[in-house]
Amino acid sequence: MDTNLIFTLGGIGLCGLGLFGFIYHCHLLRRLIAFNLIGNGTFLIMVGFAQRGQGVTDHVIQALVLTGIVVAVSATALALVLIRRWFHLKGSTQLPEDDAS
Amino acid sequence: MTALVILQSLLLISGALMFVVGSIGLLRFPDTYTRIHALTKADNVGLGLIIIGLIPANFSLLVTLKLLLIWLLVMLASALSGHLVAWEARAKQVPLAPSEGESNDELTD
Amino acid sequence: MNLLIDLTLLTGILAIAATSLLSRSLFQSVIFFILLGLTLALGWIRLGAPDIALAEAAIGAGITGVLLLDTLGHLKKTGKLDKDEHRPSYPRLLLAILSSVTLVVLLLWAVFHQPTPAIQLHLLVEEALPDSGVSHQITAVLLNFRSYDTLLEVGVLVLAVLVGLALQTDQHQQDSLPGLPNPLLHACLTLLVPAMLITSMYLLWAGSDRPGGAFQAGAMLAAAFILLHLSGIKLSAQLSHRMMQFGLLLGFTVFLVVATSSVIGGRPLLAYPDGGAGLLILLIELALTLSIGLILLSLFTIANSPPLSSRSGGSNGH
Repeated sequence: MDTNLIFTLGGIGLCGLGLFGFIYHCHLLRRLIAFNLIGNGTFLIMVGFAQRGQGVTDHVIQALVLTGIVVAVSATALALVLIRRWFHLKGSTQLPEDDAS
Repeated sequence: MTALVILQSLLLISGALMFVVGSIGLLRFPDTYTRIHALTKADNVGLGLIIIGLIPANFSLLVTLKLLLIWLLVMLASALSGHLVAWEARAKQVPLAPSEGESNDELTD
Repeated sequence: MNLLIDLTLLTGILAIAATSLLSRSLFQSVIFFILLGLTLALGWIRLGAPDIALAEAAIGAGITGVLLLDTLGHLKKTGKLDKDEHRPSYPRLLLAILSSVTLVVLLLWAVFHQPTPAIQLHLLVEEALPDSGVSHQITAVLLNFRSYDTLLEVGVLVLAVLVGLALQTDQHQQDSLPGLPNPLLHACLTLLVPAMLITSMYLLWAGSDRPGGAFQAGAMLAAAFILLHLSGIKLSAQLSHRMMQFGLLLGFTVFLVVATSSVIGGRPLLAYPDGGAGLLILLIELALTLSIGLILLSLFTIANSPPLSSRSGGSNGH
């Protein structure tokens, strides 16, 4: 059990939790949080996975994850703009497909 | 050497205990104002103890100065945020000891 | 001992994630999500990735947290935020559990059947490092070896801002902060903002030979801008509209110009001339830092200002 394996498993746990929340919740803000959990889990898996094979710190994958974090925050911000707009237009924090269920 | 290690571990453990106490205060105190008190005071002392405990670990002037700077900045930030939460709470006229729930929603930063 | 730390950290991360997903109050979910970002930063340190830890603490915990809290405050203020409208329906719960368990099993299977990598990437990086113009591996990867990726990624950031700006219908309508200006806040800002600007520039400069670089520096800059914005000093109102647009596009433009100028010189796209790599990388990083700071700020202000109707309020912070 080395650090990389442990955090890979943690990333898998985060992905699982995130996917559960993403399907289970209807509230868009909660879905966004779940989506971010999946993202964070993916980053952990990527770094842990790459470094476990080699046993040393892998700078290529770390650089990729670094840019990934910045893209993730811009996607989150965009999603929040869309959620606000939706809330402003429809007065709801759910998608219409979820209202029916 | 061993005396120093014992002193260090005492400082670190008591620092961690201060954090635990602060967190218990956050959970147990009845209203916003007392919760701020528990958090800011206990955490500043806890962080201070931990930083004093860390300094002798491998002493160099630069690292010591950096650690002290961190402490200073955290104290500044926590004093400021505590003040802002209390300010907002007063502006919104949060009562002194409200009923459970809802009490420290709204107040953030 | 290290194993103990790792396992504790892991348990903490998973527990915080579960709480932020399943907590009854949305406010609590957001707070726990911010906490998750900070804990993850510790995890990145354990994984030997201080660069990611810096970015995660500044962006994942800081800026994402502010964005979520701000939107939550907006939703609470403007509407009847329905208490908790999701009635757990059993098919949905079943589907959620089933799919997440499937995903976890598949990923676990992948982890325990991992092939040994064919290429030792880190050896290649070490080998090429002297030619890259910088002496920190991550900066070398970001702005030299894989600069193509970084260029496109900055393009994505610009695109996100453009879409956001297109959705924002009324440009000049800004929220006014409710309540009185707080004297202590402004006194502390005069101390904190210069310190943040210096830290940001230090991070940028440090990026050439140790953890740091344009992305972390840009995030720090954005944090300073957002702090100013929340305490009532609107940078976007001070700058002219055109200046703001120029700042947003500066990083991408400089990057693109450097990339294409090498084509004109007869080299492949994004190949730096011999010996000039260090200087060009610093130039790109300077422009990128400013642009990333402004991009993150405008993504925040776009989210912050209400569309169309003249509604007061909308921000819940300071």
